[in-house]
Amino acid sequence: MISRAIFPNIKSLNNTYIINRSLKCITNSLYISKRLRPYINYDNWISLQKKNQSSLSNLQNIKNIDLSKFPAENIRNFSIIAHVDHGKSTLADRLLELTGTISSNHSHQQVLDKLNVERERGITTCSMFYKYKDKDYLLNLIDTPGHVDFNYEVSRSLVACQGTILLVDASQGIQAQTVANFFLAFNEGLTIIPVINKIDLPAAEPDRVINQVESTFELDTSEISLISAKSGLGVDKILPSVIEKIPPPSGDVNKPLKAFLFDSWYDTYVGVICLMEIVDGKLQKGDKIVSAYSEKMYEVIDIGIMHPEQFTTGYLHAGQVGYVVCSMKVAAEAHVGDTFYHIKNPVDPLPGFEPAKSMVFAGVFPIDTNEFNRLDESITKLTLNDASVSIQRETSMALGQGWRIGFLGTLHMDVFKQRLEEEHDANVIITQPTVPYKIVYRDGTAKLIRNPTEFPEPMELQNKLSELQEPMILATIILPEEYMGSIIDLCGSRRGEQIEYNYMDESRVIMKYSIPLAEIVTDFHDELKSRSSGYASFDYEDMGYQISDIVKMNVLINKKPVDALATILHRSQVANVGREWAKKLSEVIPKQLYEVIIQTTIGGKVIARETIPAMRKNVTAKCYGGDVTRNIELPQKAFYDFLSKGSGTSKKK
Amino acid sequence: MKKTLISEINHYVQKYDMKGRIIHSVYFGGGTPSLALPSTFKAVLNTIAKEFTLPSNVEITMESTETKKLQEFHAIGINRLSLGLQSLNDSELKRLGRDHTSREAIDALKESQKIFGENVTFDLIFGREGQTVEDWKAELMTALEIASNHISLYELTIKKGTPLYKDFIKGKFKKPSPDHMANLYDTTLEITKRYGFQQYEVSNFQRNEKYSRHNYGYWSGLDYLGIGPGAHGRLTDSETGMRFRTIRRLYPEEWMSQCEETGEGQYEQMNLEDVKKELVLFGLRTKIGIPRARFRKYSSNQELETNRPVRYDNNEWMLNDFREEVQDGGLRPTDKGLAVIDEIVPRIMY
Repeated sequence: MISRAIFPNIKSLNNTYIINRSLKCITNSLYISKRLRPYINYDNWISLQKKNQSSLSNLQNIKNIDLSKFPAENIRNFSIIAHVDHGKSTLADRLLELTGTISSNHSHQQVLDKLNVERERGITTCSMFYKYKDKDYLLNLIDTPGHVDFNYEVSRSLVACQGTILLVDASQGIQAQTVANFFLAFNEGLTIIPVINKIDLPAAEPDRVINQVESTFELDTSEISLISAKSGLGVDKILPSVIEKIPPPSGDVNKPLKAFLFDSWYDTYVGVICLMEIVDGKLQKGDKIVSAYSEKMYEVIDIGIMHPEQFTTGYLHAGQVGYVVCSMKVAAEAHVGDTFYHIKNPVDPLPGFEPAKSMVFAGVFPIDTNEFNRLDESITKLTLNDASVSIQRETSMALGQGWRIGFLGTLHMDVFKQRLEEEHDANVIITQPTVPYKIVYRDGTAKLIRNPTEFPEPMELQNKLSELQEPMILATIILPEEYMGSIIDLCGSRRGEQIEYNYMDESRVIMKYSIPLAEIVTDFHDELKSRSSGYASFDYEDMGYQISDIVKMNVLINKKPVDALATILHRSQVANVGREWAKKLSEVIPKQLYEVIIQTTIGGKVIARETIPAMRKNVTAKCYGGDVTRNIELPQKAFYDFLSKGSGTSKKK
Repeated sequence: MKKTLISEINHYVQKYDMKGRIIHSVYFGGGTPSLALPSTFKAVLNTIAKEFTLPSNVEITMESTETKKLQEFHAIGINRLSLGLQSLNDSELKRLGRDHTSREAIDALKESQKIFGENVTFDLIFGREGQTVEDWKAELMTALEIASNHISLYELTIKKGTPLYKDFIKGKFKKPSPDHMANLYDTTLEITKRYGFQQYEVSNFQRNEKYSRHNYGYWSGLDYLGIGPGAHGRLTDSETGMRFRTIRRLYPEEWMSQCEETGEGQYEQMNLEDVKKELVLFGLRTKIGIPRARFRKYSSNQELETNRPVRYDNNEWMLNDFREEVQDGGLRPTDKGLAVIDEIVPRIMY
């Protein structure tokens, strides 16, 4: 499940103001301008304008507020972490209403409900003003993406906070994403405020969930908030506890500028918009800043807070969080986790930065080869606002010219494909995803391979190689006890090794597995859900590389290897996968005029062989003058069919 | 109707300066032309005889599904009959919506043969649901026992818009598997051969050189005039060598008014590529294939490429198993090739 942005209800129909971080790759104002406009009806516009006016008057109020009057001790930066559908967005909405940041009139929501595409995005960071015990506070709510593909992004967002609300559904209890997010926050040293949501549901068991929170996270639950974000019950206690429990940011406005980039999105008109936390110092319009990672220089064109949309303040001070427009042309320049400083005044960058790392690679090919140039443009456009995609040209003998694209994970890949198809009318085939394997040579050098075609030849393997390694992940799986047997089977069949398991309460189990990344990029999540009737939840984190006995399996059609079908496997899987692929291909490749022999091989050794007999008959009984043009289906078509339907499931036992 | 048909013929003769041109065959087709009055046929034939030159061996065929008035038709000059039988299986005839039995069909054939002698042909359809190889063998043998020297044997084709197509979509009708169809086709070839018939086109068989001269002309790319609603025609301009495609309005009322207004139907000049494609498409469905001379004649003297390699899987893959060069120049399908000609033709044309 894709997580929703934190504030789905605060949206603007104005292109420039639309943001989303949790689905960064879907977010794109081009997307909106193309798809949204035709659906807007005039009545809706009116109600939106009314809504905008009410928030405008609000803005005028704060226009008089001098942000410099909010020293760090009057600022709280916090996030909400939760498993998908545990109510994060609803709670965020309530908090924004409570602080008058958005109106509590729900008409705008109904308007936006009609716009399905629009519902996919929301605003990811929002500043609120809140009076507590006669003091004015600036509260910055910072969203975190929910999906496992974006673990690194989550951790960076958390760095910009000092505390977080851990929201747990009172009937579902702790889920895998709750655990993963908890540990990310815990490792960042954040103050964690547990909150139990949906306590008004008939199935709610707040006591059981409180026990889980206590035993799993060892958190103090004596003052735990029990709320219903939907009805607003108990929500008024949240912000006071945020102020009381979460420490203010520790920055010093008099130190040199240190700004931390934790999110960005692309806007057609102004280019990249960055979300930054000012750790130390002061940043204002006109300043020249430098990226610690790329050492590129930028000039601040516009700067302000999100309230809930971009609101220019002209500056941001230490501890404050807001947006910065600084003439960045492509999203790839905005590295999440990067530190910025004033030109000629470098500072030590904040720790923990990693450039975007693609974990899943797949070949992407146009089904119609004439579409290559058009699609090349489309793909370039899409990467403009998705910094985490890496691209290389690739040429396949079987599928023609295409691209090898690296993604953060399979969800990311699916979203990219969907965007390509929906926004750019592309008709593409995506090959079996490959993870980056590591080849270590005897001379100590190492190389990552992202494509089965790069796999060393047998001679090279024998003479130069020291070892082969594959990326591993640490999986957290939470499930009701009764599904343990079938999930343990699943993990075992995916070469998983159990590291630990614990009971969270009398019926729920938390298991940790080390599993090769390659085993979860295809259909692991679907399989997990189906074997547990939807009750198991899953999250993972990177666990580095491990030596592995991996081999490259070739598929030969009439003795010729088909590069697009080559795949890297663990030796233990070869016999099964080899047999299944040969069988499956023999079912999807239509009969040809000659006999077709399909073989799966490893280093020249045949694993399986299937034969498709030659076509015996294909002739129309009667032919009329109008039938002059007839199309033929070339064998490539079958590879497409196989790649799009067949191979994903064939890895199953 | 009669008047319009005649004025249409006259119009063509004038427009294309065809007076006195030799006509090899006349075909009254479209299913049930026998519903029209013999006097209409007579008037049309008289016009043709007057405007063109009819050699003594001209073939004049009429399609029919019944034997009424056959004597009269024969008397006015029709010398070949094509009986639409479709099946000699009673339950199948019922399903096809025909109101005769197989016994009656055989009787009708025999009666026609009394009038038209050797010049009777008929058609059967194979590949019906549930039809076994043995069923078809028996039915075909019954047919060939009483056949004259020509027969058309069609594989059942599901055409969009027909009731059969609707049944097929609804799942009421199941198509035989490709393998079973191939078995039926092989049976067809085997049995017709046993009776001395030669397959000269995908679905047409003759013995003793009794080709359907009309269809053969059509497949060979000869000119033909299409007269009447919905009729297609091909005409070559004798001066420029350009071919024209003529097409008549499908519905009789529209056709009549079209003919009255403009004298003829729509016609369009065919581009060279289409002319060539059509020659290859129809030519390779016949055993004689496409003679080089014919190809040159219709393609402004371009040469027929007989040895064009076809790419498959990045290998150059030759089609020699499926087509062969003819000694006197030209290209024709092998037996194996004819059975899969729909695969071969696009590989040769593109």
